[in-house]
Amino acid sequence: MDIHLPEEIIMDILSRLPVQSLLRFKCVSKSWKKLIVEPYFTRKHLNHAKTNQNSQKFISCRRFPDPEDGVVSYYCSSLSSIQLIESVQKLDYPSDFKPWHVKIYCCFDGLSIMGVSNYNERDIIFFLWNPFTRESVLLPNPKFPPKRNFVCGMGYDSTTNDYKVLKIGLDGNYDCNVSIELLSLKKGSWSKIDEYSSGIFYLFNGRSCLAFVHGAFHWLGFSEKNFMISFNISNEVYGEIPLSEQMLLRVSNLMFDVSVLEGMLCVFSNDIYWWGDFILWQMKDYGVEASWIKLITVQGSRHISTISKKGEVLLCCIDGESWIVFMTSNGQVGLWPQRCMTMGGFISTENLISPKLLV
Amino acid sequence: MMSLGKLITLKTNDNEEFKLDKTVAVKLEIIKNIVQDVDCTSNVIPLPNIDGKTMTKVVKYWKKHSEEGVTEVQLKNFDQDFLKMSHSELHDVHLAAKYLDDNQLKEVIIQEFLDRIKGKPIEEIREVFGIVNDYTPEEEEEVRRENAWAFE
Repeated sequence: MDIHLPEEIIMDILSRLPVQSLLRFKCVSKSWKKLIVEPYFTRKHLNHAKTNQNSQKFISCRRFPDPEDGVVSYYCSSLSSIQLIESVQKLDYPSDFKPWHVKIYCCFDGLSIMGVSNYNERDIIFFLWNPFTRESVLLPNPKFPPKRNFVCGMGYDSTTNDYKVLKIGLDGNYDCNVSIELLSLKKGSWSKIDEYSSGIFYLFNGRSCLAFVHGAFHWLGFSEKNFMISFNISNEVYGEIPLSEQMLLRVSNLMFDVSVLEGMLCVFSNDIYWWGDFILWQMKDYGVEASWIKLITVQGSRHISTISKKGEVLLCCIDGESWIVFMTSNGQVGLWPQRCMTMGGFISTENLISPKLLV
Repeated sequence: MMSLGKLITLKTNDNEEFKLDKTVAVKLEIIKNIVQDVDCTSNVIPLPNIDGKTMTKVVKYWKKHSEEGVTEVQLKNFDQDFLKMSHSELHDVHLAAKYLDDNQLKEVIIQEFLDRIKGKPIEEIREVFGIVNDYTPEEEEEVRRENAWAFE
């Protein structure tokens, strides 16, 4: 049989396939191998995967890499039935680096920022990691020395066609001694960003990541009252997003966080150390205070992750002593052994993007 | 009520003609655009990228799917039967659906391909797409090694 198929027709079909199949299909022919790694195809594949619930995966990693070779164990599970599928990731550490602790700091477009620290967390290095293709690349070292606490966020700057990482570090949970820096993957360097304005402390608990939507990162801040800060990654300008009066009554402690649901900003309760209701508000029209609505309330559970596609939220709660129940806001998903895990994790989209091609 | 004057003729690249009720034909964006653009008095629309054999299948699909009172079950059975064709015929229908901008038919074909290649070894994938392996055994082994975990 001799068929001459336009590449477009092949792409239509291949772009629906899971990453693992496509990695195997590189063996089909030279032209398929070329096509599967092409940025045009990887982008098309990602756009498809974003709309496919089966392509949404829960990613979590073990806290401690193998002491011998520094290999990191991680889990990648489908959301429909959380089934533990353990995989391993080899990382290319700098020659004198002794890895001790690993954490995923944020996920965006299916890529993750993984931070690895050495003993006592004196130094930290970052990898851009695609858990689906098991490719990673070491990122340039940040300008600021590691702080006790920091959060990261990753976003895509469509004006320069560049992925960027924002890192905010501070010494305690809230103080004024803040260091902010932005990494452009294209430029391959971090640049210092000025603080927003004086008298603000930042509210976060070191578990979450910065929410990226509308070309800007978002997090909660405080001056006379709580509000939301935005930072546009294209023009590097700060802005403010108002919270509703109803929210301000609830957002009175540190247990609140910002995330993105269905492309819209949301604020949710993030009670990590005590039981409380999970409440999530969503901002229907970006920047419009009156458009905040209370979308989800779940009794006695804790939110741990970013949020999946169809308006479901992944929550975790401790059930008994050693198990964490993972559930969506629509019902229970599965059980997860607590001991070996960091409690956190991210929902990420299967993709073929090569970290090495971005840095 | 539709009138007899509402027929549209589609003419394939091998000069086969298909007479279709206009209400069926204009459901497709491309036909609608052509009907609006082209001198409609002749009512003949040329399809330079599609042959008669393929168009017969496409028209069969359209007719069934626009049949009045057809049930979900009937359509499901029809589709199942409709998709019983060779790989290359399926590719032809895919190309035609793409040219005609018929997303519904295109999705049905893509799904059929996904079913045909699911879990199949590389050799069978080549067969489905009519691909000649241009790797040397050494080269293929090398690519396989680079992606070894994906074969587990």
